This record gives sequence, structure tokens and C-alpha cells, in this order.
Amino acid sequence: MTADAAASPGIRQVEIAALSPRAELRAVIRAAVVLLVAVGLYLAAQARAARDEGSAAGRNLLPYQTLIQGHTVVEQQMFRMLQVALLEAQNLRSVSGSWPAVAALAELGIEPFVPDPTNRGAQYAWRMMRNGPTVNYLGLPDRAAAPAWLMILQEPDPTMPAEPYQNDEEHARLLDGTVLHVSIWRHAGGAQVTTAPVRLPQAEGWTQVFAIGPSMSH
Amino acid sequence: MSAFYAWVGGLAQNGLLPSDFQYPFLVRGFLCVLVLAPILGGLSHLVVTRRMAFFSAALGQAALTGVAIGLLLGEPLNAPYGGMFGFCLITTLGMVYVKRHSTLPPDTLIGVFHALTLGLGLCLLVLLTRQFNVHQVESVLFGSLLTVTDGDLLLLLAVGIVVAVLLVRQYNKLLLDSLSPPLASVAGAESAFLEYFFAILLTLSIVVSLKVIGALLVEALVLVPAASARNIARGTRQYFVWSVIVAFMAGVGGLGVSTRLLVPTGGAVVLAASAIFFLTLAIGRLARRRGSRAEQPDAG
Repeated sequence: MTADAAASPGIRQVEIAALSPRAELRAVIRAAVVLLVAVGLYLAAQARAARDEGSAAGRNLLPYQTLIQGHTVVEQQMFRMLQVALLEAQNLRSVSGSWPAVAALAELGIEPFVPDPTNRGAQYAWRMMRNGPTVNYLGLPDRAAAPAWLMILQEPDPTMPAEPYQNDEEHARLLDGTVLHVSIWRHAGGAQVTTAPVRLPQAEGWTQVFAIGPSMSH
Repeated sequence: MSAFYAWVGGLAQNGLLPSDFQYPFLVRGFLCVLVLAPILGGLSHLVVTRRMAFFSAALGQAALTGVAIGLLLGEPLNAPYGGMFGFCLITTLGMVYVKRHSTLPPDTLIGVFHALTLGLGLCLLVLLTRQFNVHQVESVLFGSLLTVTDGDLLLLLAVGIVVAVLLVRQYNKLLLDSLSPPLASVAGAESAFLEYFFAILLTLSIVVSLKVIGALLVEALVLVPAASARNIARGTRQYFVWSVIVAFMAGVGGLGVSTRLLVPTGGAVVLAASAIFFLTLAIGRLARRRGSRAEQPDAG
């Protein structure tokens, strides 16, 4: 810019001073420290809240998972019966080589497959469905307000290496050492459930129910 | 929120809404898309103009590492916000500072950070898999509506409002600085401040969208809407508006595909966005061809 141009009206001279690198670094470090302190306080508050809650299991639940302890007594009873039924079905599978039909389980008196006439609550119609390596035991209630229940047992893929067994709620082992993926699910809207095999229960409105919590590493 | 989901479910059962809306997770997903579209779409055109596409990719990887750090520090699996926000914001500050004061090209520097955060994230993930179910962590990589909670939705809304307000306040200066930093400096905008400011806004937006889109693909939703809008927009305003529209259409379309075909949400959304990009590319070419044909008779 010439001296004449700088002196003429209408032209404004502006000094643009770059921020010094040292000043900028100080500002960045200060901001980082503030962030670390804020995160530290947040984590401390979280840890305190978790201690007050008293249970670590509930903190690791995904939106489609729940603990049975928060449900009604009737549903807790159903969950316990299904846990036992799961074990019985696995034993029969180990002995016979195939998953037992609902009628076979009922003949052996295994609850909840046996109708209970003294039960004043919803009565369930159970059916077994197979979809490849996955077996579903689906219970539909006779009352619209009652939840539907589902047991899913998934056999391993024979083309894949054997999976190590984990002693938790999502794994089971047959007598021959075959490791299964097992789970129990609940659908709040029992009347809405169809009788088709369930492919992805969490995407179809089902909630996975645990006694203690999700399994640790797979 | 349960009452709201029940009400929406009732509308779905009565046929006033698609039947999929009877599931709360889908309602949450749709609400997330409604909030994410203006955020990411609105930032998208500035990201492209400021050539920060690779920066966004590095941020996505940093978010994965942030999740791993948060979980190792004892945060709940479903909400490792401390680790995510803390690590990503500190990484952003570091990246911008190094980029501003290094003689190396920006893409090289961002590549270094990209590799660093990815390597750190992978090492931490190995430690994590000994403590957590790795399938639950996979949702952070690819996005899953099934893991989005009401808390995530509220956080998304809060961050969305903050980002929108701050962006509106500084938009003119940001745009001028994107097009010509010397001109912006003369006009009174501090280029250094704006660079950090925009990078932090982008970081906040990317971190809150992770659960829906996933760390590996969030960069695409920051980039593709603007790229699509560029094909058909005729001015800055249209550029912004079309970016938001494309982001919304990609979000809704991807949501529908993800629910029907049971594929990861992030992948479905990015595929939808890419399809829209190629469509706008074709539309833009046709429009330009028609425009040049209309001019030809005058030239003759």
C-alpha cells in the first residue's frame, strides 16, 4: 500500500497481530487442564453414585436388558421356572441328541410347560421353533396385558472353532462339551408377538432378562 | 418418556404411524435423526469448505479410544461420556495446535494423530475384552439404535442446542474465515479462535452421534451431505439447507433400511447418504448441461 493510499480517507489501516505460539500453547494447556479436572470430577461423581446404588451389574445393562429383581413376583417366578427348564432341556438334548418338544417337557412335568390350573394369572401356550442353529421356546399368554416369554438356545457353528466356555448366564455347556449361547427374553406386549421364529429379539421389542447381569468377556 | 413411547406406540397400532414405531428404540432413533440432521448437516458444509474431512475421520477413531479409556476408568458400559468427551476434546486441542504450528502438511499431521489414536484404541480394546463383552463395545464402532438410551437422546438434544446457538452466533465469521482467512482477520474475526472453536463444535457433534452412526462411519455423515449439496446448490444458503436436507433423508432412509434388514445403523445411513450423493451428482450435471444448451442459441 502506498503512502498516498494509506493517507486517503475511506481506507482504514488494520494491524493484524498473530497470536504468539507461546501464548496459544498456554491457552491450550489451560483448556486441557480444565477439561481434565472437569472429567475427573464427573468420574468421581459417577463412582460415588455407583457406590450409593450398591450394584455394579445394573450399570452395564444395555437399553434392551433388564434384571429380574425389578419385576413383579409373578414374573420372577416365571423367570426361575425358565432357568430350570433351560437346564432340563439341555440335559435331554445331551442324552437324545435333539431338542425336546414342548409336549415332551410337559409330560416330564417341567414347568412352565405344564399347565397349572390353580394359577390365576395368565396361562401360556408354548411352542418350539427351530431356525438353523437357533432354537426358540416361545410362550404366548392368553391375556393381552401379560408379557410373552422366550428362551433362545443357539448351537455353535460347526465351521467355526469351538468357543471357550464362560460360566455365566449367557453360556451353557452340554454333557459332550458343546458350548451354547442361551438367553431368556420378555416381551411386554404379549398380544403383539407373532409365532414366527425370532431373528433379532432386541429389534423386535424383546427385553433380555438377567438374574445377575450381562456376561463378561466372550 | 415411557408415556410418550406408549402414546406413539398407540398411534402406530392404530395405523396413524408406521407399525415399526411401536418399538421405543425406533422412536428414539427417529428423534436422534431429527436432532442429528441439522447438527451434522449444518456443520457439514463448513467441514468441506474448511477441508476438515480427514480431521473428522481422526476424531471418530479418537472417540473409540475415548470409550475404551472411559470403560477402563470404571464408567458404565452404556454411558462412557467422561472418557469420550475428555479424550476427544483434548485430542482436538492437540491436533489444531500442532496443525497451526507445524511445517508439515495438515493431512500428514492428522494422519499421525489418526494412527496414534487408532493404535491406542486397539491396545486398550484388548485390555477391555478381558473385562467386558466385546460385542457390546462393537456398537460404538458401527452404531446401533438398540444401545441408544433416553439419556443419550437428551444429551444429543442439549449438545445440539448448544452447537446450534454457538454456530449461529459465529456463522458469518466462520464462513468468511473458511473462504479467506486474511479477509476475515481484517473484518475483525480471530482466525486462531475460530479454528479452535469450530474444531470443538465438530468434536462435540461427532461424539454425541457415535451411538447412532458409529466411530468408523461418522465422518461420512459429516462429509457426504455437504458433498451432495455442493452438486446442486447455487449459493451458500442453498448449500446449508441442502446439507441439512440430505443429512435428514440419509438418516431416515438408513433408519428404515437398518430396521428392515437388521444391518448396522451407521452403515445403512452412510449407504443412503452415498446414494443421494450420486443422485445429486447426476442432477447437477443435467442441470448444468441444460443451462449450457440454453446459452448456446444466444451465442449463435
